[in-house]
Amino acid sequence: MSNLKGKLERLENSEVLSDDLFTRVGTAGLSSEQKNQPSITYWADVWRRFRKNKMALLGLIILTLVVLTIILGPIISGKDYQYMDSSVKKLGPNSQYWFGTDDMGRDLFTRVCVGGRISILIGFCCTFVMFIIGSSLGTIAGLKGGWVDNLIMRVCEFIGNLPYLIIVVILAVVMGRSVFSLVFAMSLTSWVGTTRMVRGQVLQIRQQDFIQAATALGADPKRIILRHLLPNTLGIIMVTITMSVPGFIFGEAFLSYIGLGIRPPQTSWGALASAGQQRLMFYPHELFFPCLMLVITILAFHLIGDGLSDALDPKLRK
Amino acid sequence: MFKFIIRRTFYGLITLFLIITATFFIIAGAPGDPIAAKVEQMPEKAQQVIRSKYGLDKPVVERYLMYMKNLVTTGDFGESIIYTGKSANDVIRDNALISAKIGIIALSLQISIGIGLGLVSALNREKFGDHIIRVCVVLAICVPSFVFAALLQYFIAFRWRLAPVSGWGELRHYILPVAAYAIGGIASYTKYMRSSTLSVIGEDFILTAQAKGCKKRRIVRKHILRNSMIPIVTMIGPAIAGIFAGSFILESMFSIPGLGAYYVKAVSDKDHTMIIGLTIFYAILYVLSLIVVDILYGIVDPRIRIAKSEQ
Amino acid sequence: MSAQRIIDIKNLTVSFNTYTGTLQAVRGIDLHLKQGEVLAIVGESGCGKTVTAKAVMRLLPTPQAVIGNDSEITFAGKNLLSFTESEMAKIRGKEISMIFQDPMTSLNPTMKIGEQIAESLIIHQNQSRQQANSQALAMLELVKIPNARRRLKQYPFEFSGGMRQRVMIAIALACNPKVLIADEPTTALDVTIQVQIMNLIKDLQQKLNQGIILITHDLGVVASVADRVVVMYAGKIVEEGTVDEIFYQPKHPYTFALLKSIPKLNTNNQEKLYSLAGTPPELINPPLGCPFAARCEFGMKVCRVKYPVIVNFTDSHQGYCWLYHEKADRTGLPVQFLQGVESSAQ
Repeated sequence: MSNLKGKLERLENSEVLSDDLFTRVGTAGLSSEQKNQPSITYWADVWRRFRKNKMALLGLIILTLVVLTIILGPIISGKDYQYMDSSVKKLGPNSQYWFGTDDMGRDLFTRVCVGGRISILIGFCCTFVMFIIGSSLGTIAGLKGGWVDNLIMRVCEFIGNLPYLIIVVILAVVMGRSVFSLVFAMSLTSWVGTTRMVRGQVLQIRQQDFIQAATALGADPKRIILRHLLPNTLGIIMVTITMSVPGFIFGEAFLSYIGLGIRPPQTSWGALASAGQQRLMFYPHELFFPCLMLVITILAFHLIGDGLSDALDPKLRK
Repeated sequence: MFKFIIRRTFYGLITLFLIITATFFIIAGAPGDPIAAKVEQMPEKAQQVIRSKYGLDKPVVERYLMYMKNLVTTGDFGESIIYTGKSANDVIRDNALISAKIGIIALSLQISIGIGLGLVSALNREKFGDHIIRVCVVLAICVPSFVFAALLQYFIAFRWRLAPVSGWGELRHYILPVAAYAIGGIASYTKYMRSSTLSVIGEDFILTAQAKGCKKRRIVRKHILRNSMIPIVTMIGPAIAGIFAGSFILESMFSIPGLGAYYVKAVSDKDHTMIIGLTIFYAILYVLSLIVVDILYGIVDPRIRIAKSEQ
Repeated sequence: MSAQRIIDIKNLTVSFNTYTGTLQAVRGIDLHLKQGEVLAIVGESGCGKTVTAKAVMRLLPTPQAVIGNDSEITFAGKNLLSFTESEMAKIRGKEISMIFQDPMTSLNPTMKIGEQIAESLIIHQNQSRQQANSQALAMLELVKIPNARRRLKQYPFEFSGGMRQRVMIAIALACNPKVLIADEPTTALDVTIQVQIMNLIKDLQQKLNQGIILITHDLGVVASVADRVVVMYAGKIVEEGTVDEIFYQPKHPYTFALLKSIPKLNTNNQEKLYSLAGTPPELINPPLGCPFAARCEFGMKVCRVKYPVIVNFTDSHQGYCWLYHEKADRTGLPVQFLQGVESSAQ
């Protein structure tokens, strides 16, 4: 095939090729540098790939719907989550009580919405505290080095070696039942991973040539490191956050379920599920709805987190 | 290797000591009177007697030293302040084994099924089977174990009557708790095994094996499996501790008289000495399991084994 | 002559389906390797050398990589491209072996060195574990690893880079294959180790009389070991000849530029080392004419619109360049370009 083509071309060039074609032009007018494709910024690219991920978008939509529901739900239903109406105890879902009522005649839909606020709030609060403690300790450890770094890493190792559940249970026992003690107990054990990650990033940036050059020239590299820290870590931090929130929501549900979480009259998905579980056989809706909301919220966070980490993965960039 | 185990055990003991101390002081030093409810109705004199029986009239430090002495010399984890005469040792002896039975079955199911599914999923990447497995895994990870347990109880036990709702003693009582216990773990082992296998498949040495003329089966068996199981081993450690501790929620849901159920009871009773005793027992298991994992890790990964024994 | 050809590649095209389009990594090359010959494939990274080698081994990732329908890779008279995967597995390691660029990642970290060498013996020669082990020991001694008996039981992380590459060579040669493909075997190593490894490959080649396809971007390596050289650029072969022809009478401006960029002992230290400006063209939409036109100081208008025809300088020396057309403007060309050309170009 190629031989045939060669022959054809040979025929052609002895007859058709004009003298003019053989004028030397060198490299004039041609760029040998690769033409760049229209360059897009890193974040635009991440967003483009995130949007292409249908599951991640689905997660985003679900989460938006859940958040809208728990914010607006009680307003739309027009009921109070604590109001007990003894004439409507233990009703199944119907047109008036969308999710039914509980054994004290309270509207379950409103309770699920209000409980969801607490659950998601706790999820975000814990993540926030974890992030603040983790990133500041990580930055300090990475920047200071020496004994400070050593101390922080030893503490990390110790806390990382503790059984998470036990610590949370003990703290919850000691501090009593409140949103604050829940957040405190769960955040206390969770910052270790963030600290290690941020410290790693600081050390990595520190290794880079321009930082070493700055140090060699006598400049204090801290400022430069800090300026490069955020853009470098933002991606991983976002993934950590989306993956941590459901973990904390889980934790809250768990603690409320064994009676260490939210104290009535406040409620949460875990507390509602715990109450519903006791009457599971005869009124399954009392367990079903809070669990459903809990599960789809966690699912949404997972889908978003997976989508984000795929979108941020340099290996998957094309 | 031997030196490494010794060193690891030593660190484990230090960690353990710190955990015990912290637990004791946090709980024993907590504000509030643990036996207030119990002694409320009694005359002043009787209260004094009970207080001195539990050593509550002494300062915390003294109680701590006494507790540590008892723990180390006689292995005494302490006595319940709610149920007179019942010690944490009794509870551990009676209940830990029950938790362990369910835990061992569930854990072996989790590991074997998880590793198998993860491997299948990774080897058929982006094919139909992989998609199905991944969807199931995401769903299973997003559902808390108590929701699973409730679903199982409602449908399998209550509606279809295929297994007893709860209870303990016969073989059929294992079915639901083991299933509820295992599902979440299967999903996470599958997930980790899949990603770890995928990263191993991308390694250069797989190409070397192919260039050697290994067939696919041999590559999976000899080159992929061991390397992709290394990260899985780290997950197994805490799980081993969990076996004896039992699952807090599932045991109470299925009325299994295990350690987890008892722990929850102690917590809700505010039975401080029992909480301390059981926590310390759990901490010992936990630290032990971390040591076991490090040793396992060394067996699976020669790099760690040799590097550590040379340290 | 073709009877001697142990590997014969005809019109090989390989393309990759990527996000942004089809990348034509190898665009119709003809290549052959004779029994007992060392053939070097030279070119900048991304020019298709490694892809060609992996195509011979059929180790390209499927389904991303697509080999052209009319491509042919003949080994000992049979077209490898028509083989099933299990037929191919019998060829790999036994008839054709390959060693890779990075010895640090090419060995299984959790398998003993001895086992890794013995593996191909067990697969291909049905040897017992014991036989295979003793031959593995012999192989380790062959590649000059001291304390071979003890080393056999060690793991890759206990070996240095150079030692690991020796192990890779031992693995590749264990079944005494007819062809060894070495993909940049020294690139990841220190300079002193590079020389040792190349000497080892050369010694063993003389001992065992394999055909070797040596892939490299380092012309210095080529001069000492290769019999013949193929120069690739942007997925095409631009020049092919014996090592002397390529080094002393390069005909293609790209080969010329490559040679010019090797530092020489007598290079004056006031002189700036020559470096070729620019980068190879994108292979998603490769240029219509000669791919080197954009970097060629002797480029003509025709170079930009038409791919050059083959020019036979000698029986063994071919090139693709318009400069040897009768109408070409040859003023100021380097002397090497013109040597012997008047008689043989047309």
